[in-house]
Amino acid sequence: MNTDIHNPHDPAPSHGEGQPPDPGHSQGTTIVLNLNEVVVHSRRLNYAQLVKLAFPDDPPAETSDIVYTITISSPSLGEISLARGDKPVPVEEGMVCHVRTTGRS
Amino acid sequence: MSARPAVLEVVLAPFFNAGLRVSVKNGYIRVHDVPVVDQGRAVRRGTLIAQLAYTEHHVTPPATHQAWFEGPYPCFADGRPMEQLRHSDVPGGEITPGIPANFFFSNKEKGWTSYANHFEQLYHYWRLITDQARAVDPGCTPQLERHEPDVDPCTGVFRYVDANSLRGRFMHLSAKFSGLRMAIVGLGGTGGYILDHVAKTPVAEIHLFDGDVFDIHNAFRAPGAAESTDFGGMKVDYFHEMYDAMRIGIVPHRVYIDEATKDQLNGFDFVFVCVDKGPARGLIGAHLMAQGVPFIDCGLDVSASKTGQLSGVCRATVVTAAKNDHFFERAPTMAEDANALYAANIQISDLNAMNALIAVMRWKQCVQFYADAKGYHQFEFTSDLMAMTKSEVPCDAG
Repeated sequence: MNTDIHNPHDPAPSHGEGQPPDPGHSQGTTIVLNLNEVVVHSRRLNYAQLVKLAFPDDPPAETSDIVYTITISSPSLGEISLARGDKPVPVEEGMVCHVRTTGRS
Repeated sequence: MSARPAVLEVVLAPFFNAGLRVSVKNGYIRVHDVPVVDQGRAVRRGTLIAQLAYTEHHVTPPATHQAWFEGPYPCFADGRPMEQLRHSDVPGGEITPGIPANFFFSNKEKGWTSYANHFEQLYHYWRLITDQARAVDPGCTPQLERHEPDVDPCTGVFRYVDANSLRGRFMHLSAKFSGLRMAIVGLGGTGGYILDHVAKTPVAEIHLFDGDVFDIHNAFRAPGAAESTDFGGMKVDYFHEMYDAMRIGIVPHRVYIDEATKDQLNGFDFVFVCVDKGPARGLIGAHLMAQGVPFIDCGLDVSASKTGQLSGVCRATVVTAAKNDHFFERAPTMAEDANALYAANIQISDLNAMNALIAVMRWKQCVQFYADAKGYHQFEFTSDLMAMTKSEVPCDAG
């Protein structure tokens, strides 16, 4: 998996400060994740990385049996849905993301 | 005399007294044997038709001055068409199955505001058309002779005429629902609102599956207003009783769907899955896919921000013959929702209703009642953005 998070197995607190800075993104990018602002230091995020940002204590989402509903509102891509295996999305200022488990009825 | 609601007597009596042969069927009232001049100046017979919405206790007054006609286009005694009647032709030669018609008329007196009853509405056209026929053949209008009105018993699923489809003139579209056998698994908030909308289509049967009791908290996220005496019984019985007022064909099943009961879902035309438990969702989804039964699985989440405001995500996962490979990647089927361990179980009626509406509207696309531009099989609505994502398009659809 080619991502911009250099060490995805490090503990990643939900505000994203545990990630090593990305060259050219040293200031980080502020996005809204599950209603809270988070500074992200990577250029792109995939399904598993978004889960890790949102729920750092959950098992790795690549192999977990938990199915997350991930929605992203991005200035360049509009409203999109991200499933496991989808290609990473570019991180943009103003992006609004939800990582949820949608099992209630 | 055929059995008919007493309330119809007031509608039918003036026709009877005028010696006109009248019948009532599928929400329409028809005056038969109307003498009409055709373009060859021959006197023939036609039928005048208007909408008639009624229940056992109430008749809706005529909504418009308009009427339909089955027969040759009415002409003056000299054979010129009576253009002042014309509104449009009836596509396909019938208003709704069982009610043929050729022409839709729109003609009214100056200063017309409304008709008090259906006799006034239809007699207006009857007089215009038959005056010309009498000029050709003075003996063509029947002598005053009493015809017993012929009222078709209501044979549809509704306990009264579907006056909404009637008024909007989309009975032919509503016919796409007829004969369908539906199931709703789980009658919580979402399932309740799904029933609320499916019940108002003329599907033949709606089977409700839930082994749970209707308790006080359920009232705050169910359609309608429960009475304080409604609690403690089965959810499926509560909803059956509520919607039985409007239609037949609702069948309560006081069971959860599991390995032992899953075969009860075989053979349905469409199933809505609105369960809380992941393993049940997985079992039901796998079984329906194996059976080739199309379905929509619903699920939502409500969470609070650090500042204490809520936001909801409503998911609808559609599984049809065109696409089913996304189900287990999109619908949560895990045994324990890890986040549920520390999350409050917040559910809000409008989010349940939104989730239900996405599912019901998508189902109406599946039966080709609504147009479907893209064939999406996955939808997620987020309330903080008031936005919807759409994805999972069948491969052959691009």
